[in-house]
Amino acid sequence: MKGYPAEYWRLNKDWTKWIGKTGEVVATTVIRVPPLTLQKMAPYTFSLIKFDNEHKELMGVDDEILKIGDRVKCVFRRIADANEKGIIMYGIKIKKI
Amino acid sequence: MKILIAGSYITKFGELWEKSLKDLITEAELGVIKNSKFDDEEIEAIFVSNMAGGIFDGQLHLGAMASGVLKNYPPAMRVEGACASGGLAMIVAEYALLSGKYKTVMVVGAEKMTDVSNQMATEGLNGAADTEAEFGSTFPGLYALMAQRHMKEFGTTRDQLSAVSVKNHKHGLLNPLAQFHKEITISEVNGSEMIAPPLRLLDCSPISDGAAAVILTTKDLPNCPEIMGFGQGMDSLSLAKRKSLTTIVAGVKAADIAYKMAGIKPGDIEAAEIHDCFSIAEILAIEDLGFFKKGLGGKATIEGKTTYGGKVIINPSGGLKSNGHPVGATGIKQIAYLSQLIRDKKIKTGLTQNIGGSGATAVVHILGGKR
Repeated sequence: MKGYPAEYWRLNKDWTKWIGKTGEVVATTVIRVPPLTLQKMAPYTFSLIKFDNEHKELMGVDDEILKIGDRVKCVFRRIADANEKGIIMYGIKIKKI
Repeated sequence: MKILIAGSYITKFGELWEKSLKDLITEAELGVIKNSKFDDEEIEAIFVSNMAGGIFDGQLHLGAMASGVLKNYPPAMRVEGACASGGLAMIVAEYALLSGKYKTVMVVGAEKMTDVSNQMATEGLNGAADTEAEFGSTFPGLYALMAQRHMKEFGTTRDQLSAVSVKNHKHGLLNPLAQFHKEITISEVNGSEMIAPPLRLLDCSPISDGAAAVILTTKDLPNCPEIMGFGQGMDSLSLAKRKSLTTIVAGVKAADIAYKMAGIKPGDIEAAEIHDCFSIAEILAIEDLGFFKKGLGGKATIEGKTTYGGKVIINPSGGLKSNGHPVGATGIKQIAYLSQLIRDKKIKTGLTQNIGGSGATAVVHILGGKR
């Protein structure tokens, strides 16, 4: 994702649906070699989470390490470094309950 | 109608400072012409496999570039399916032949990856994931999730993952065109830099430059390996929508179609070039292709069942790990390498498996039937 305004809006138009939702970690890792737009975020966790009716892949907050079976909730956080368009990108991450 | 492999050529893989994307495509095309009984004018069409020339090289319109290498400018087009671009280009070429439109075509795959930084390469390759639904992911990260589930569900061990890389580096010693000619040990893999746990640096295939080409024909020629079967399977682009993290369903589908078309079973395969972009990918593949029961791929590898003298030789070229992984070239290289083994009478029947992304696209080919 390049972080253009329209693209950013499309990505995040269902924020409110996810904030506060809880789920369980199915698989989790730590990204130590990140994409260009996430250099300042690394290392961060990246996990596959089972929610009630679906699975979703999400970044974790700060340097919190997760393990399979952990209960997590969706929170609203900054999700990428500021890009050349000046947009500070926010979105959904997961935090251990 | 039978499709024969009338010629093959593979360039050296690695960090090739002196060669551009155009140089690589040109070398592969002229090389395969030289290695066949055909000349320029007899190539009726070219199918070009490349994933990211637009990102890594700022070069698109590769069909025209490939066509311009030959004197008669045959019709040409580029096919893209991430790391499975090569397998898909083969399939498009095969359908073109089976339609009767053409009798002889060329398939060339190439990628020039090392002119950009590692971060840029990571970013470019990320385009093969679902960039919205998998925001924040990297390919080592996605395969790490699969590795973790395989370890959890089947007890696959760190040493078993490492045994894949150790074996492929050993095989690479026999391939003069391989990127790495260096034997490694399980303890070296276990101690290499952590990239995305449980995957470490030596679990990962490298960034590479390289190209490969084959000439396919429906003309009746002696001593040419035959494409006995081929299949394509698809699944969700994102991991989150998959039914399983420990089976690449697209690969199973592709293999089922290819085995049926060829009329053979997994036990008939003597050697296979499969998509070991990460060590766990080879373990998943040898299970999904039916060589070993689900969950036993790691055990089979560390017990030596996937090398010479074992049940089936997996990645005799060294695979993506040791031979290198210039993504657009990989699927063609797999076919070219196995066809040469068949031509040299080292094996009779072989299989290739080419995977795109984290498993959304899969292509399987079965080669053999030397005439």
